[in-house]
Amino acid sequence: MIAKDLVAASSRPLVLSILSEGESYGYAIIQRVRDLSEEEIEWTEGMLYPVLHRLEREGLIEAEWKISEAGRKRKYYSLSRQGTGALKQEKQNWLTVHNTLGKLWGIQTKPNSI
Amino acid sequence: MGNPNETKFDLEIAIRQWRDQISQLDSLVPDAATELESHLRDSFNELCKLGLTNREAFQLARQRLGDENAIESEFSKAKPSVKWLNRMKWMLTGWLAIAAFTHISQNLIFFIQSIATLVLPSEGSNLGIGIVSFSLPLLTLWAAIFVGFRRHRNALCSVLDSVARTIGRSSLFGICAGGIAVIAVGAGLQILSTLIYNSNTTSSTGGTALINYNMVYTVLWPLVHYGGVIALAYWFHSQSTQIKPTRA
Repeated sequence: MIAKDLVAASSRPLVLSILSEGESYGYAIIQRVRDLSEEEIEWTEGMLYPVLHRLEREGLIEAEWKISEAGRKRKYYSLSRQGTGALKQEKQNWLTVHNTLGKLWGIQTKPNSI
Repeated sequence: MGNPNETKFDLEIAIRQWRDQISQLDSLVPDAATELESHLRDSFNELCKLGLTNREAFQLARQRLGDENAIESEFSKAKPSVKWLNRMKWMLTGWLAIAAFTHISQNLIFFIQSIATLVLPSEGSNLGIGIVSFSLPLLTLWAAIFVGFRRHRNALCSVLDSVARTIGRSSLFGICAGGIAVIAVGAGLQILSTLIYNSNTTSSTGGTALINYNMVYTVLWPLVHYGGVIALAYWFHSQSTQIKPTRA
C-alpha cells in the first residue's frame, strides 16, 4: 500500500492521464486507478472530487452534467487543451523523478522523454 | 426511527440521511453533494453485484467515500473560500432573522409602553415603566415561542428539517450564533452611547431617573435577548443531534 502523501501527490497526473483517454466521471476514474495499480493505490474516494474541482478551476479539465445509463445525473470530466499541455509537463516531471531513482537503484530506464 | 439493524434496509432513506449529513458541511457546494451521491450509488450498485446485501453494500460504499470529517477537510483544503461564503450566508440569515425579531418585539414594546404611560403615573416611575415595558413583553414573546415549540414539536421539526435541508442544519445553529454577534455589537454600542449620554446629563434635571431607565434599557434588554437566543441555539443544537441517524 502506497503512503497517503504520495497517493495525494500522484492524483493530479493520474487524473489528467486518465482523462486524456477520453471523458470520464469520478467513480470510473477511481476504478481505473484501482485496476491499473492492482489495488496498490487506494484513494479515500471522497478525496478525488476536490482534486477534480481544483483542476476544473485551473482550466485543465472541463465538466459537464449528463444523464447516466441508469437515468441519474452524473458529472463528466474531460481534458481541456490547456490540460493537455499541463499533462505533458507532469509527465516530464514524473519521468525525471522516476529516472533519477532508477539510476540510483541501478534499474534500466527509458530515456528522459515522452 | 428504530434501530436500523432491526428494520428493513431502505436505500433511499439511507441515502437521504447521509445526504442530510454531508449537506451540513460548510465547505460543500450543493453540486458537490449531488456528485458525491452519484458516486455513492455507483459504488453501491457495483458492490451489490459482488454479492453483498444492500445494507452491507451501502455501508461499505459510504466507508470508502470517507467520513464527513475527511470529506470536509479535503474540500476545504481545495477551496477554503467556499466555507466562508457558506458561513457568510448563514450569518446574513441570522442577522436578518434577528433584525426581524427585533423589529416585531420593539413595536410590541412601544405599544405596551404607550399603554403603560396611560395607566401608570408617569413622573418618578421610569424604572417601573422600563421593567414593565421592556422585559415583560420580551419575556412573554420568548415564553410564547417556547410554549409553541413544545406544543407543536413534530410539526415544527418537520418545518425546521426542510429549512435545514435547504440551508444545512449546522447553519441553523450558525444563525443563532450570527444573531448573538449582532446583539453583542448592538448592546456594546448601546452601553457606550448611554455612558456618553449620562456623563453629559447627570448634572441636569432628572438625572437619576434617566440612569435607572437607561440601566433597564441597556442591561435587561440585551440580557433577555441573549437568554432567548442562547436558549434557542441550545434547542436547535439538541434537536439536530437527536435527528442524526445512528451510525453502524
